[in-house]
Amino acid sequence: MSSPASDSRPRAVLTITMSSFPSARVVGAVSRLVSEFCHSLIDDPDIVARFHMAAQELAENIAKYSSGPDVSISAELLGPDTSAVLRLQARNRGTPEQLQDVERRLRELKSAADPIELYDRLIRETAPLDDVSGLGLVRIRAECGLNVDYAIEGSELTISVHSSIAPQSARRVLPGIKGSA
Amino acid sequence: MSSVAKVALESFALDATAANRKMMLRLTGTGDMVAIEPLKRCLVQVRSEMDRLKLERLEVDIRGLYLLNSSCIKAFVHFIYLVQTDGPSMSIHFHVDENLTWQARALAPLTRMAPDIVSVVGSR
Repeated sequence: MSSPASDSRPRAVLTITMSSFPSARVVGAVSRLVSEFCHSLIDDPDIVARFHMAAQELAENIAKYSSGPDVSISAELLGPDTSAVLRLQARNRGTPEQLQDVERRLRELKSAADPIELYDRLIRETAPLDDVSGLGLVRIRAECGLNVDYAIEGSELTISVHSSIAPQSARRVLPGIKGSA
Repeated sequence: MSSVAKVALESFALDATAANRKMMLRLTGTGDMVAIEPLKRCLVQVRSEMDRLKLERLEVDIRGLYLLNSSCIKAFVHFIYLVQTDGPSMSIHFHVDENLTWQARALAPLTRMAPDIVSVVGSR
């Protein structure tokens, strides 16, 4: 899997911004919208399902762990048909404690040589606990095989999830298509 | 007769029936943040009913699910952990739709966690 080229301009963009904490119903609506957007770009239901799940986990993360109401989720198709990359980005603000915790988990996830082994270990560790999940981010990499990256600037956290898309999977996208909500 | 309470929300439904020494749990809709608390309550009741009725086999049909989030997967992880540690003893068989490839993929960690009691059965 490749990383999205920093100079690639998106060929299609969906951006959802909110100035309130998303409720459980809104989280579901956001992930369905992202899934529909991905479906319009990619002719492969399995890849769309992977990004739908990632969008759901990212949106739930925002709903659970934001300290301020300004949040956003975007989906972008980057690069030419021959090396297209689909990328989701989730942005939110967190308290220093929240950011410290999520950075620890993201660093471990990003550096894991075997993400499935990490997923299974976290399952074993959290199995006795009824009220803790902590599996959403690791699932994106271990189960869906998507790349996970992150950046923290001040109190703002950005989590990126991306994957290269096989040329035959990408639908033909007309230049200048943009969506926003 | 099972006394596991039915769940019928706008986006998620769940019902359980017991017959022939097994319990069938059917989940439909979206397994997301709305579904998690009803699912957890149901799984507590399922363990209790499996014990009361001396049932040995639990079948969980998720073919009608559109999505299963990590919290719902975690609810099944905790359920399996309790079965392993406190009982009652049972085998757990998940039924997935082979056309929806995400379903078997999402449940794979459960079979890795407890291969001796958990299996995933695909059908169309």
